[in-house]
Amino acid sequence: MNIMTPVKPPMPARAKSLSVEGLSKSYCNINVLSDLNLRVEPGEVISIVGPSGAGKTTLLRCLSGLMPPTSGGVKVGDEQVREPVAEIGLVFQDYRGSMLPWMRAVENVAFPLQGKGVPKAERLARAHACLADVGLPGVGERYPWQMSGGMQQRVAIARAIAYDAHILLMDEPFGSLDAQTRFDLEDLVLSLRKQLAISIVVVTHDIDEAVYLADRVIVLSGHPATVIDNVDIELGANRDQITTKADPRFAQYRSRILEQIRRPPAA
Amino acid sequence: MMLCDEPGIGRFRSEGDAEMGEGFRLFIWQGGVVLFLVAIWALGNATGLIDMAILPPVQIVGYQIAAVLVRPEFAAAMGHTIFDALRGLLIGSILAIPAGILIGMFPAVERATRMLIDFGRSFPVIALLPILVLLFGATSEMKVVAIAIACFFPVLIQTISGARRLDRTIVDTIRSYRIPAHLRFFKVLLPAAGPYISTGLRIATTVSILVSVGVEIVSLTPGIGREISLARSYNETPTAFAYIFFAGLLGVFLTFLWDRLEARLLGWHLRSTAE
Ligand SMILES: Nc1ncnc2c1ncn2[C@@H]1O[C@H](COP(=O)(O)OP(=O)(O)OP(=O)(O)O)[C@@H](O)[C@H]1O
Ligand SMILES: [Mg+2]
Repeated sequence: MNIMTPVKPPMPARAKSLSVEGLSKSYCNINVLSDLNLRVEPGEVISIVGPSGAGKTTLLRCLSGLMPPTSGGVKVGDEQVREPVAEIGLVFQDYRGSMLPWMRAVENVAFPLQGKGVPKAERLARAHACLADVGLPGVGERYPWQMSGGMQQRVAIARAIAYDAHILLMDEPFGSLDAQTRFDLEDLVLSLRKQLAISIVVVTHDIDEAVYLADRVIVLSGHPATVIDNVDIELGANRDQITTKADPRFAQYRSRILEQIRRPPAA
Repeated sequence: MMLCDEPGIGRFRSEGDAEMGEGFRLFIWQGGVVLFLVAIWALGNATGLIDMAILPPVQIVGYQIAAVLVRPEFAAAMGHTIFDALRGLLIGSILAIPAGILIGMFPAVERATRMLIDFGRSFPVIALLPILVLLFGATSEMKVVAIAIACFFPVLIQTISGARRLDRTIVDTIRSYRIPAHLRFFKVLLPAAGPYISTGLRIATTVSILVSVGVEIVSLTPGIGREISLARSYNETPTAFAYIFFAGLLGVFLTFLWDRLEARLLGWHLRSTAE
């Protein structure tokens, strides 16, 4: 599929695909998503873009099992997703709301492991290690209010990794951060996907971010929303903020996607 | 790193010096208001506008406050009132907090119990007293039961609103990480409702003293209230006022203690909402 990245990291045996088959979702009688089909291969990173109100958050909530689709289904491997599953980790845009303010960073990361029955010493050790992996060594003892937004979002990513999620779903994860912090976190996501061979689905408003992060960009549009384009991004596995974004192919992808989003839905 | 200011949880105090000055000024003001009211009282007595039989002169009440302090029955009465109030408070809250969280956890339960709770919150416990006396006699146990019932509702109501006001993203987070029910209860809902529970307990603390003294006045069970009642019946009005003064002081003291405890337990909350 992605011929420009021959050096793919080895896929662990546990990795599973995420697939969406004929998914539709209506709120009351308003049809938001209609007959979506989508497959995320193990280790693949895809971005989902689309105009505001298209139904991206709705799609992500259906993928995560937080919300049942009206019809059709979501599968992780061969298993139907009805409720949140252990394979999926979620990162929300609202990092303030997703941290438990009465817990230190390390406790926040370790908390889902407690639910899994991991013994205390082990889960704390794992939480500290994951915090180091996301570039936050030594801040485990801080409370959320003692951390910047970027740091809190790193903690949220560490929590998903510690939970051993190998499918990471992120809903506009860097939307409320400043540009520099956003670039740093984008690079963190790229380095994690290389290290850990996890699949990542990122919903974003930012087309540059979508292209920069992904192997594939899905464009959602229309009322009800459907997949109107599926763009393979062939920019290689080694990307960086300056040269990748200066690549002429980057500009081509960018304008192709932008055109799709701005084109009025076919009458 | 970027943030060097890391005050330990619970040692929440704003700016050291500014706080001291602020606190001192507040103290002066509060003292001033008290002095002003005492002055009006003295003036009322002096001019004969206030009937001595209803409100005895300031200096006599002041003298009695000191005199009552050294009486042996004072310490015993104080002890009974505090001990029973705290027992009732403890029993009431131990029942109310888990019940409140469970009710707040399930919207259907909340709807089903709402009317009952509205009924209970506005129901005067004193009206139950004849029945309680019938059941338990005029005993300390009866008093503790009355206090527990009175404390139950404010704590319950606050706990329910705390447990219901859980941030939506937190709800999604704990669902997506499949946090099991017992952890949801102890590690999420209980701390999330903490600030509300604390408010409930503060209200209930005052209620516990009020009801304790009230029940003692009516049923003559041992405590400050009984001393007030007896002093009145012996026509020792100044002594009654002295005891009333101490009952009030008790409330002030417990509120003060509660403030300190709250800062210690809920430092995270005060800090994260400080901005
Ligand atoms: N709980 C709900 N009840 C009813 N309608 C809803 C609900 N949630 C979303 N919608 C509607 O569904 C549509 C899709 O919403 P959704 O939040 O999925 O869009 P989005 O693509 O994530 O938008 P944005 O980019 O602004 O975040 C919108 O028209 C919205 O009004
Ligand atoms: Mg959205």
